[in-house]
Amino acid sequence: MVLKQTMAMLVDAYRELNAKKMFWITLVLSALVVIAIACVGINDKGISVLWWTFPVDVFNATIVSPAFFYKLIFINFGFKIWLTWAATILALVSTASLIPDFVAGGSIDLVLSKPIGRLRLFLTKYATGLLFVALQVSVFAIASFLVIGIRGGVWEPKIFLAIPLVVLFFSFLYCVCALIGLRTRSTIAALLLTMLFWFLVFIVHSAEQSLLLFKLNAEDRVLSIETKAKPLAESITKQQEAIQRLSQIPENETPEAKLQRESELATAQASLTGLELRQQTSTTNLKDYRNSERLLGRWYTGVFAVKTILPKTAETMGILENSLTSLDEIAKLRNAEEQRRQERRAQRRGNDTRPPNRGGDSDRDSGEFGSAVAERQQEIIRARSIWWILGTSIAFEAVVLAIACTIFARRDF
Amino acid sequence: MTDLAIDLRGVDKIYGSLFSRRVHALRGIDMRVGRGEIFGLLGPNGAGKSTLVKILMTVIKPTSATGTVLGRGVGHKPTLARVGYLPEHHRFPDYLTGRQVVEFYGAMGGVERRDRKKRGAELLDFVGMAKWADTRVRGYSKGMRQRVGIAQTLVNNPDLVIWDEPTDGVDPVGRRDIREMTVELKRRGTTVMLNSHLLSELEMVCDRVAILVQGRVSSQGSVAELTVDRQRYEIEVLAEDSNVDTAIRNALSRWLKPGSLSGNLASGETLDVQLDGAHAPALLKVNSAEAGVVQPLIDALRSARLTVRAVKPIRPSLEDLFMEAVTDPTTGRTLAPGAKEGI
Repeated sequence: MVLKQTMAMLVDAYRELNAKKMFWITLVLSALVVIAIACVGINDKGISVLWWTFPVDVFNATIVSPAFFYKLIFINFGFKIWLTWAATILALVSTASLIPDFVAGGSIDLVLSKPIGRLRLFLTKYATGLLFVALQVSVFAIASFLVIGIRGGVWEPKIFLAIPLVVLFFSFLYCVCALIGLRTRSTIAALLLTMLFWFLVFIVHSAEQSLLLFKLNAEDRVLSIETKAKPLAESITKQQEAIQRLSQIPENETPEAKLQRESELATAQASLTGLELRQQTSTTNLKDYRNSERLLGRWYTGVFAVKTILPKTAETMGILENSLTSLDEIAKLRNAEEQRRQERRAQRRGNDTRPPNRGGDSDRDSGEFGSAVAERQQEIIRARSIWWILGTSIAFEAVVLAIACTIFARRDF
Repeated sequence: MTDLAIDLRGVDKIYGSLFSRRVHALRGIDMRVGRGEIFGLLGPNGAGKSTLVKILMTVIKPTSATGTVLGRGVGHKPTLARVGYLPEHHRFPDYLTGRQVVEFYGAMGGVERRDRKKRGAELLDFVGMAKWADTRVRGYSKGMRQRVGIAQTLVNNPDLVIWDEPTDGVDPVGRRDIREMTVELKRRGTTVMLNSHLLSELEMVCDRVAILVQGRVSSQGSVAELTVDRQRYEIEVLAEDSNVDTAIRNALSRWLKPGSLSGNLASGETLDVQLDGAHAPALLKVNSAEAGVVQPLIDALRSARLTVRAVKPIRPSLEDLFMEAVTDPTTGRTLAPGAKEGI
């Protein structure tokens, strides 16, 4: 009987989706996205769209393989933009009404009066809501597999990881939608509050990423200042010794030697003053950066704790990116970009008649420094385990579903 | 196996919580429905009829309840595979056709695919919807939805059918059809519980009824049992001239109290005389269902040369019973709709 009822609900869900125009509109749009991506290609000169070629220095077949190129396009446009934003919004619009309609008076009575437990009834209905996305992403994944295979020359079965990952990603939002729909019985409320929740997740995610970057930045600054502090202190000591030595008037000092010594003494004193000023500035900066580091650390811990509780939508999709693209390929692309950047910088310097100054060095240091911190940030993010990403997100979903199931099981309809 | 399809004792339902308004919808309902009978559940709006039915169908959880449905405890889910239920304001998915509705709810009831296909077609024919079986529900009229609704209650070949307002929005032809379906189900041995406001419809088909008022069973039994004490005879006497009042008083003087228009017969039954003026017929009401009791009265009237126009046995209708049940005996006014607040 369980199988019969589950099958009946799945078939009913399919009929419901089939009756919704949005399902077919989304499917047609998905097909257009795949066709659009298939029209884009890569050759030795750059990127081609149909029969036009657009020269790109850092993005051509000599640097990036066609297979990697297509994977990047599918990940960044197909999955990250289309499936996880546009198609998800369309899916939420289409499925937000499922639970409110299901629990509407006159409708729920008919199913509750059947020999099926409330818990199973609700969870099966919830699962049928995910069917929308499962069907959409399955079609999209098959089409992507074919395009990468035919155009990129690589048959990449890992693309099918998108099916469970996108369904999971959607389920993190849909559980909230189902809970609100059940509680309020309003489609509009369910849709709007789910969107709001998604925005909150996005804000927390962005805040965590930014705070991580700022925190690493502060840590590196502190480290950098601390590293430079020792040689600076040694220089000051040397200067002080030199001043002490130069302050001693030797016996039988000739006027020329005196002049020479006093000149050296003045230079040493000026140098000491400069060094002491630098040390003072450095100490002040170190204090400020340490304060920032502590403050950012506290904020980061708080935001990270909130993020741990919430579903990790961006990271869930990141799993697909990590599994489809290797670090070597990304490094190769980054090196090409870096090389190109240096060439441009060198070219600019060649055209610039002004002598290099401290500011220029500082800019370069800052750029390299920022790049290193960003790389460390990416390393930390990539190092987060799948179990942490999916485990905590699924735990969130389980808690939300448990609340919804409790409400559904206890409510008088 | 018990001979009761439904046997309820002390069903109580309080809506609301400590933090919200509390409504005591059902106050210790005791009710018995025999197997194979057609049972009518009556009551004014807010009496608790739908709440009681929903408790039977596990849509609502009772605050307290003991009793059985088809021999198993109230709330026993597997038993619902043997029950067919049509809610009052049912709403079928409008993207389904009539056939799909019947088959979907059949599947939810655990009916085998082959059986629900076969029975679905038969039932749609039975309710007169065979022609529209493959049309989407969104294109149906209210009456057509009711017919499909009835069909889906029968797809699992139930032992007990509960229909909440089955004739709601149905035209007279449809009502007659539903009435005939009800009788046919009884003939097949199915127990039918009807919840309706159409008292005349219920009176025509119900073996037994229960009247719910403000969460309590006001009366329960067959219409004959409930009305036996309220049956009477009425005798109409023609007012041929202005002296008819005096003539009637004289003819009935041995039974009427002096100076009064009421009295008692020898066997104790009450007699009331209603005189409505010179040209209106006089009406004698005798509180008895026995024809023999009124014979001495007729003889006395005839002896006084009065013309007896009609002698009618009067049995109160279900509506009379209903109105009596919903009338406050102290004020004589009908009770306000809705359940009583508080506990």
